[in-house]
Amino acid sequence: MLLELKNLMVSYKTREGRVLAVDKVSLPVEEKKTLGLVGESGCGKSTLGGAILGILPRETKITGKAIFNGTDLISMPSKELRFIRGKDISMIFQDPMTSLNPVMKLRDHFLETIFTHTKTSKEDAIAMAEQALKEVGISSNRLNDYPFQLSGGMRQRVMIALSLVLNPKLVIADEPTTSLDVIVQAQILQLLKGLQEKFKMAMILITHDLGVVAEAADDIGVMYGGHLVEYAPKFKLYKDPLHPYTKDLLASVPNTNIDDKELRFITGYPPNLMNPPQGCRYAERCSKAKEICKQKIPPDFYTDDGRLVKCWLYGEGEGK
Amino acid sequence: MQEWSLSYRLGKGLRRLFRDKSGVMAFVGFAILLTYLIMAIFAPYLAPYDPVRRSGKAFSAPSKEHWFGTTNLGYDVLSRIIYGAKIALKIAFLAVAVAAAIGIPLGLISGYVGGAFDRILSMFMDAIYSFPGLILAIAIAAVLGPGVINVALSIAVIYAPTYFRVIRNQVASLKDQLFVEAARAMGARNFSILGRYILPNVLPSVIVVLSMNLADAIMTEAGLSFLGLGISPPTPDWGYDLSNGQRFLLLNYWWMILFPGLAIITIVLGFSLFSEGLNEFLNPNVGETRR
Repeated sequence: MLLELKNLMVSYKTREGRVLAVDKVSLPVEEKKTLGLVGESGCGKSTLGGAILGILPRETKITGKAIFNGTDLISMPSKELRFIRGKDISMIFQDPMTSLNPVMKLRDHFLETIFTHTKTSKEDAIAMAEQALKEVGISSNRLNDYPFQLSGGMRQRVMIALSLVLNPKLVIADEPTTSLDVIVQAQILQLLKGLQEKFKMAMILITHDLGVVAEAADDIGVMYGGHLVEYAPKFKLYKDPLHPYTKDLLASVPNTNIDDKELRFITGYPPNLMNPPQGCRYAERCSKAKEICKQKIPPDFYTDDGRLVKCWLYGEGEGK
Repeated sequence: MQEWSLSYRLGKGLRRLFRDKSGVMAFVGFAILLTYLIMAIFAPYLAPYDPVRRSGKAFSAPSKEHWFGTTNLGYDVLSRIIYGAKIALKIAFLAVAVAAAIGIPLGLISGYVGGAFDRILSMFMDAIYSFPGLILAIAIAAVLGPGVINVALSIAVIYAPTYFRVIRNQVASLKDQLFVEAARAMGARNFSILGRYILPNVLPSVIVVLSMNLADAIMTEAGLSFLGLGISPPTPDWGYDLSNGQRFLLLNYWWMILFPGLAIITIVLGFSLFSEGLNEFLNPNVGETRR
C-alpha cells in the first residue's frame, strides 16, 4: 500500500464557525493503481487531496493520519513536507488557464520544480523538461513560450508534464478535465492513463464525473457530505452498488440504452456542513432511511469481499 | 529580413504609441522628463554662469546676458534652474527609491503572511498614511535637519505606505491564485513563490505608483525647501528660490519667482503625464471603463 488514510478529518475555519469538510475518512491507495474519488460539489473530495499535500490554508485543522511509504504526512513538519511535494507526490489542478504563472516561461516552471528538489545541472534539467514535454506530446521548442501562448488543453498537458518531471510515486489529479471540452478531456484522460502505466505511479483522480472514473479508475471512493460512503473496486461498484447514494447517483446518469422520457435525479439538497445532520448525511434524501439513520452516524462497515460501505442497511445490529 | 530591421520596428512601435492619446501623453511626459534629466546631468555645460556666484547686477530683468534675469544677490536665475533640476531629481529619486525599498518588501511579506502580523503592520502604515504628507515631512525634516539625504528620508517616510498598500492588497488576492497554489504543490520555497510568482505580477502597478510618487516627491521637496527645511542656501533649489523670490514680488521682480515656479510645474506635469500614460499602457482596462 502506497498511501493509507486513517480517520482523516479536515475542518475549515469560517466566520460562522468550523466546517467539517472531511469527516473520518479511511482509504487505501494501492501502488500503480488509480483511485477515483467522486462526489458532488462541496463533498470534501478536493479538500481531501489538498490535505494530503498540506497545501490548504493555514487555519485549516487536519487530524488523523496519511501514511505515505511508512511516514505520516499529516504530522510531518511543513519544511520536510515541502521535499515530498512535487517530488514524491505531485498535483494537477482543475483550471489549467490559471495554474501556470503568467509571467514565467514554461522552461522556468520546469527549472523551478527540478532545482527545488534535485541538484542537476541546467543542461540536464532542460533535457528533463524536454523529455517530459515530449511525453505529453508537446514540442520541446515550446519551452521558451509563456503560458498565454498555449491553449487550455496544451496548458493542462504542460501541467501534467510538470507534475511528472521528477517521476513521482503518486499524482493527485484534482478535476484535471473539468474545464476542458469533451474531446480534449478524452485526450487528457488517455494521456494520464498511459503515463501512469509507463511511469508506474499511483493516482488519485478527483472528479464529479462518473464517466471519467469509469474510464480511468481501478478503485472508486464515493464521498457525500464529508463522509466516504462507499469504497469498492470499479466493476463491483458499477455492477452492484451498495450505498443508497451510490445507487441513486448511478441511476441518475443518463442512459441511452433505456427508453427514458425524463432525466432521473435525486431530490433534495446536500446537507449544510456548517450544521450537519445528527445521523447519516444522506438520511434526508435516502428512500430507505430507517429511524436509526437519523439518529446516529453509521460506522464504516466492511463486506466480506473487502468493500467499505457507510450505511446502517449493512450493519448487523447497532454500532458494530 | 526587411520586417526585422530596426527602423521598421521603430516605426511600427511609434505608430502603436501614437494610436491613442495615452501613448501621446506618455510620450510628451517622457520628453519633458528627458529634458530635465539632460539638464541635471549636463548642468555644468549647459548653465551659462555659476549658480552660486554673483554674475551680474542684482535684480536685473531678463535680458540677452541673463535670459531669466538675476536674483537679489546677482545670481543667474537660468543657471540656478538648470542646477536646481539636479537637486530636485536627486532627492526625488532617492526618496522614492527608499520608500519603495521599505514599502515593497513589507507589503509582500504582510500580504503573504497575513494574520495578526499583517493587521498590525497595515494599521501602522495606515496611521502614517492618514497624516497630511507635507506636515509629517516637516516634522521629520525638522528633527533630522536640512541636507539632501535627510530631506529624501523624510519624504520617503510619507510615501512608503503607498507602496505598502498597493503591494499588500495585490499580494493578498494573488496568493490565492491557482498558480501560486500549484507552485506550492510542486514544493517551491516561500521565498521563491514571493520573488518569482507574486512580485512579477504586481510589478506593473508598482511602476505606475513609482512614477506618480516622483512627481509628488518633487512637490514635497520644493515645499520643504520653501519653508526653509530643505537644502541649505545658497545651493540652487527651486523651492528655496520660490520662497526667496516671493519676498521681492511686491517690487515687481516677477522673474525671480516665475521661472522656478514654471520649472516645478512642468516637471510635475511631465511625471504625471508619463505615469498616466504608463498606467493605461500597463493596465489597459483602466481606459476602458472611462470611455
